[in-house]
Amino acid sequence: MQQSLIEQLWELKGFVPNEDQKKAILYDDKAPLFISAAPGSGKTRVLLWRTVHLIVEKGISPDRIFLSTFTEKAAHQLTEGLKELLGIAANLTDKKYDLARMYIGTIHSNCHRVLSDRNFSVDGSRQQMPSMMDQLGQYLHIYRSDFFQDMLKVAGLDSTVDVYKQINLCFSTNNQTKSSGARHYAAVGLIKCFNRLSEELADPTKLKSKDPLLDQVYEMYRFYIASLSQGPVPLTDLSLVQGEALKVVNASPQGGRWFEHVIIDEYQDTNTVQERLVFALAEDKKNLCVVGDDDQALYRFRGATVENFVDFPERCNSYYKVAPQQISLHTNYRSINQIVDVSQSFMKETDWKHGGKVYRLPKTVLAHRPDKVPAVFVTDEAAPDSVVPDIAKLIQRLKVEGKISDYNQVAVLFSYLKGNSNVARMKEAFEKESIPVYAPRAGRFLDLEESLAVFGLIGAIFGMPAMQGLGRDMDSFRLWADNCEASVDRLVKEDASLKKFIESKQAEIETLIKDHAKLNEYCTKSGFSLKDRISPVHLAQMARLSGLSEQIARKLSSQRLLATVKAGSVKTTFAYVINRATSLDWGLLDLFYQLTAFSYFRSLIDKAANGDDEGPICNLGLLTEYISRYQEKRGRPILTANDIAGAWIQKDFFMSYLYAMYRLGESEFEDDEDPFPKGRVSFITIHQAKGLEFPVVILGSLYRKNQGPDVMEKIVRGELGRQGEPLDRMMEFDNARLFYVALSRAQNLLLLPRMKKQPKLDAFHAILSGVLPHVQTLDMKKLPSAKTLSDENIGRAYSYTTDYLMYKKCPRQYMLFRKYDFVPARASVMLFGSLIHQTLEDLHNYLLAQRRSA
Amino acid sequence: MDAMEQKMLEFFDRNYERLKLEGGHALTEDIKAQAKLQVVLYWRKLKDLADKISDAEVRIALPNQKTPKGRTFSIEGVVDIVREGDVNQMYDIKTHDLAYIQHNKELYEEQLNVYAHVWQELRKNKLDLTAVISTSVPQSLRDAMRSGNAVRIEKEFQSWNPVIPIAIHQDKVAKTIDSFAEVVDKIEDGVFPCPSISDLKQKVTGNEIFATNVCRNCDGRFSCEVYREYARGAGKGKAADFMKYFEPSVDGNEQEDWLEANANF
Repeated sequence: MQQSLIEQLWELKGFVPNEDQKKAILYDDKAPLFISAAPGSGKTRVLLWRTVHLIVEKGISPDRIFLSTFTEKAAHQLTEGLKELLGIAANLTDKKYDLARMYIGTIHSNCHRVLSDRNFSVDGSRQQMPSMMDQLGQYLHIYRSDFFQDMLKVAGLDSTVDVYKQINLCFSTNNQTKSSGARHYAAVGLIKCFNRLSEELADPTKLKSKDPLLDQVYEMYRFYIASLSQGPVPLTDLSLVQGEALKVVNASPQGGRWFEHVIIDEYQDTNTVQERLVFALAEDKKNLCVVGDDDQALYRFRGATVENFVDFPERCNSYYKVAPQQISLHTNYRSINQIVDVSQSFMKETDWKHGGKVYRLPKTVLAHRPDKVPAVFVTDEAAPDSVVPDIAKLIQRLKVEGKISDYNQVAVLFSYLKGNSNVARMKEAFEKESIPVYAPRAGRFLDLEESLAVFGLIGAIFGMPAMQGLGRDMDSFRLWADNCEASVDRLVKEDASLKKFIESKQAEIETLIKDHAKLNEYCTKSGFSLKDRISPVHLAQMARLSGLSEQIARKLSSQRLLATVKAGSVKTTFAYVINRATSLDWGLLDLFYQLTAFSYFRSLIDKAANGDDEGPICNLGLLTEYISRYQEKRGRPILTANDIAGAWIQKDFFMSYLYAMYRLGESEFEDDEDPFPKGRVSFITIHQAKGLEFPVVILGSLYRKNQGPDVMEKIVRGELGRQGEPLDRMMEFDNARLFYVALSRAQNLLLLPRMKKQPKLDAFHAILSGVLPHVQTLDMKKLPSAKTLSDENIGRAYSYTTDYLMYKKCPRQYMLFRKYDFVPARASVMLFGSLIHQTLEDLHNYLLAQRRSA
Repeated sequence: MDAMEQKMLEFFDRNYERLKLEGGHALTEDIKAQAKLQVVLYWRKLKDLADKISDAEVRIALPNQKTPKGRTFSIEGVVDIVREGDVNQMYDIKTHDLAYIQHNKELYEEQLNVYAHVWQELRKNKLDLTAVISTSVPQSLRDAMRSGNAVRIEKEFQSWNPVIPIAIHQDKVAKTIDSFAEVVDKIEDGVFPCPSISDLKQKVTGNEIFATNVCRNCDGRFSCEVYREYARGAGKGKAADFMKYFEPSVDGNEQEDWLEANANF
């Protein structure tokens, strides 16, 4: 029989799908597809091949496919995979498959695109795309004291500590913050509430509560929503954008028709508005494919409802009046038999029945790997301080015996990192055995050595702010600033040239401020206001002012500036000219790169270049991101003398931006996509481990406290009448799911520490009292070695231009900007190139279409 | 500005917003302005060619290659195709500068011949001509535009030739692919050495060496031991020159572009 196209491709890629995978990939009926996928069951491959099937065999244009993933990183990986497979397909078909217009990203970013997509506009015009506030942007918007005050006032409240206490008591999740009177926690709590209301599609105009505080909160929510459309550019946030997209889709005649296929990954972690949106998008063709695993639902605290997944068949019935095709991918290719068995029995320890309903989909997961060796081990049951060194020694042995080729093949998973005593304990024990650890989120990112050095040096050059506020957080931030200064002291002691550098920058700034004052004085004396337009004559006069530094005089005499002034646009005021002349030639990100010239930073970068340790370079890469985000938030990279004289760096950079980062660092950013650097054991949260696998997994603890349902759950049930899992069982269910995710990340070895005096989830008691072998009995000879990259046959696509030629040009440049994603200070080559290429592509396609219609 | 240019700017803005969202960071205003200029001048200069493109952004892929260390990888590129009657042409659009491309023509010959190999052997298509197009606006034209002198601009615009023909000869394809495979191993193994000091002194364009053409535009130069050695040598090691090392890398004009475009005080 002749091979189909997809079969040829499978053969070329050496992919042999099992029957269920094949069914899921090739499913072609016009009814929803409901894929329940166990850990390690090849879900990503199925999604990838299903998309290839649709594009290559079914001729679906990629821009008619809506594919959403849980993270941008996952979307990126899927895109890379698609590019590769479609490249091979193109060689067989000689057709062009263009992914540039495909909707592939998180639901949030896809929603943001919908808002300005002409295909969905009612009259063919493009809507103005609102500017998206990320988590930090939203916080800064709400936390700002005048805004906060006005918001409370509208609700009839005063901005007092007592009011903040009331809000914190209502919305905070931990005891410490519940009793706090800080505005910060009140802002965080209100944001949580606003976002949930948005995601539940609560109509602000109709919100009303018998609870007086909630009623006031609703008033504040209305105020917040109204504030978003009051600036020159409309704003939106990550929660609202989804409801806005839903509105656009519902209003547009094309809304339910444009996409031929809607594919949603990790469907167990979607929320109410997302469900409404995906059903609306697929309304016409009903080609809605959802993929997920109810056992791996992790994001209820962010408004996700696992019920969307568990009840999907009923939802299909109520939205579409059809039943979905159900396919279960239940073969686990990831883990050794025993790991699969233990994870399964762990889930069975929880009673999923309640009030006559079962809150878990029935399933049987089968291990595919043939190796029937022991793979799940326990430690001694002993005090933590004696258990932990044994774990470190085990890792050391694995390395020596070649069972792992790099420390980054080991992950230690925690339910939370910050303030977790086991994190510090393990880190210390590991480092004693010379095992480097990567745990950027265990403390605050700002507390890392690299952060202290960079922010300390910026502070040394511009002057650290005076931190006069009150409160626990401010005390702690003051201490942080002290640590920054101490870090600078140490660096300067070791490196005399760094000291000289700081002094010369300080001198440069001092001159600038003096010149700035002189120019302002000139204006005042000559009777001009700064807002007055400047003439070439006065420009020349200013350039000749006595006592002006040579540099500023030169800038004022520049031909370019003269031409601008002569052209006489509205902006050429005295203020403009003074600002332009007294701007620094460098911004904060330029300064960061200049600092890397000094031995401390160079040695950190060299460590990665020699292949020794990637930890520090990853942190430096994250720092360039932090600084560039600040510059973007601010709207320009340039620092003027006016900014500096007005203590802008102190007030805005340190006390607003960094302080917010610092405080928000208290809460966990579960979806931070941190790297897993070579040479280090990663300490990560179970949330961060979602979708990943590691040869060796060690659990950091076996417990998470059952705090009962979050206040927002009670509110959406009580106030908005939502249904779902029983409130009193919810946290128990969620805890089981959380640790199931942890257990099922392991490929070859899973270690459960038994620490005395530390609580364990009930479900673990039965597992531990069973017959799990002691780690001392681990037979290294039987344990499979961790696979290295070359063992896997998933080839990566390398671009001739941005990989090969860029590496050939300079491997070092490649390392910083391509491998470790440093944000360049001036020109982002990648973004620049893509922008031009895509615009020219649009042009060519437009011309093609015109010729065709002619 | 004609209607098509308006249209292009619309495409440009839309793409910019999307890419910014996807990549998580923006371009500074001066760089955005440079990109805009490239797009507009491409249209003005190469209208006729642009209007003949029959397949835009065609993905070229050479799959299932093996590195010396046994890794599987594929090579990927993007080209534009013009099919005119019986004649097929392949164009590779580059956004970096013409002088560099002209001086390093063999690099691009290798690249386009790998693409030609895919096009002819794997996709069974005919190919008659290949060329690189550099959309980067030459320095002399940019200077002329800054001067605002219409005659000078016209003269520079006319003498600008962004299309560089590349000869098709398939004899080096296997060698190029081998070299590509070695680079893949190095990237995967984390081998990222600095170039040597003699590399830095190598001419990469008609009149510029690597250190000025590449390093001076690279933020990585500060932490690069070799560039440091080069800069010290060039600065004769005087104490007064210490700060020189940290001056803006770009020339006065580019620095003013940066300032002017970002001056939304």
